[in-house]
Amino acid sequence: MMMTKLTRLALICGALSMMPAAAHAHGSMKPSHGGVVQMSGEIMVELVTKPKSLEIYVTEEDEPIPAAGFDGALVVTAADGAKSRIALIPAAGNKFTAPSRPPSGAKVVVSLTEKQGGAKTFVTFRMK
Amino acid sequence: MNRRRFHLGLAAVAAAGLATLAVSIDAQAHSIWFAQRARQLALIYGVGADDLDAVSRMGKITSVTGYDDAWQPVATRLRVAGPIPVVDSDEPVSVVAAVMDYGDWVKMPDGEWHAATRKEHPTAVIGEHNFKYALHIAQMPKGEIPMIPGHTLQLVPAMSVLPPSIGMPVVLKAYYKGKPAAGVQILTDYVNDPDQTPLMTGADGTITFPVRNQGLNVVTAIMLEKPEGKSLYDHFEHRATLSFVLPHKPE
Repeated sequence: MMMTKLTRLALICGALSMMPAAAHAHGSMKPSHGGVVQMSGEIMVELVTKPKSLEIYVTEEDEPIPAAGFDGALVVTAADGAKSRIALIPAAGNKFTAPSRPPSGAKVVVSLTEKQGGAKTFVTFRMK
Repeated sequence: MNRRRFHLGLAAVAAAGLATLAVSIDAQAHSIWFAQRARQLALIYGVGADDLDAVSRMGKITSVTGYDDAWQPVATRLRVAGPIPVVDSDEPVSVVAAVMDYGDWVKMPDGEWHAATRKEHPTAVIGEHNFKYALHIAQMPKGEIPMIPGHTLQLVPAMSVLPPSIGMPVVLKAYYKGKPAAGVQILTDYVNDPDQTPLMTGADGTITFPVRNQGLNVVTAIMLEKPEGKSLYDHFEHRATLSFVLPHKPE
């Protein structure tokens, strides 16, 4: 009896956990450059895939965050588990560029470390 | 979802598996746990709402470990950020854990505690050595959470997913030296209700109770280990927290 209830609970909780996160931030959660977005708290990171590179844009509550204020990197985990790190290059405004494009299926963590204070922000994408 | 049905289910579970401990714990009261501060995950040393000076105690931290959702280790350390230590990892962590060796303590007849042993204070009424452990779940990993090296006492979920809402039953399991531990004292809401009468794990090491908070939950497990033979210590206190967050509604 107890296990039946617990099993049912686990199944329902599992179903809920698989629902897309519906959290809304203050500000737009829509991409502005044709890419895909992920949120970390109120910070929105947009990833734009180019043929041989990536572009990253960072905003918080619709306000662009200057890329020059961060040390950025991509932590890439390929489908076979191999890991590599790509330094992000700050560009004008809130834009970073990555000089190479990770392979399809790779997990890409955008790691942003504030130069003043050292606080870190992570968001994770899956390359198509 | 019918929350009432879960409460009724919980009552049956509680009747089968819960016991309360009627005596208070005469031992050091502070724990370590993880909680979000300014978007970073901080290591907290304290009790209840007392968020004490953890930076000055960082030298007592003996290990910090992080794991991703596939339980692959992630390089993880603590970094001093103003008055608090924060988790500094190379990648996002699904689980982060820490161990603190808080050393020798004696309680004197006047009720004061000192960082010493009975060797220095023969009249002490309690002599103990304290170990504190913290485990935080940022995201439930795939599969069961294994024993983390150095965590003599560890409290983990005994369910594959955490309940989504306050009041729903959560099943946790205490392990001592990697084995299910019965009789471990459990404080279900260490931050907001630190003086509650502890619950106690059952014969299989599990404990079931309604999740206390739609937000940060810090559950503390306490176990007093008797030393073998003649000792300066009455016991070794193992104090482990499990922290996790139930998300709030969309803004």
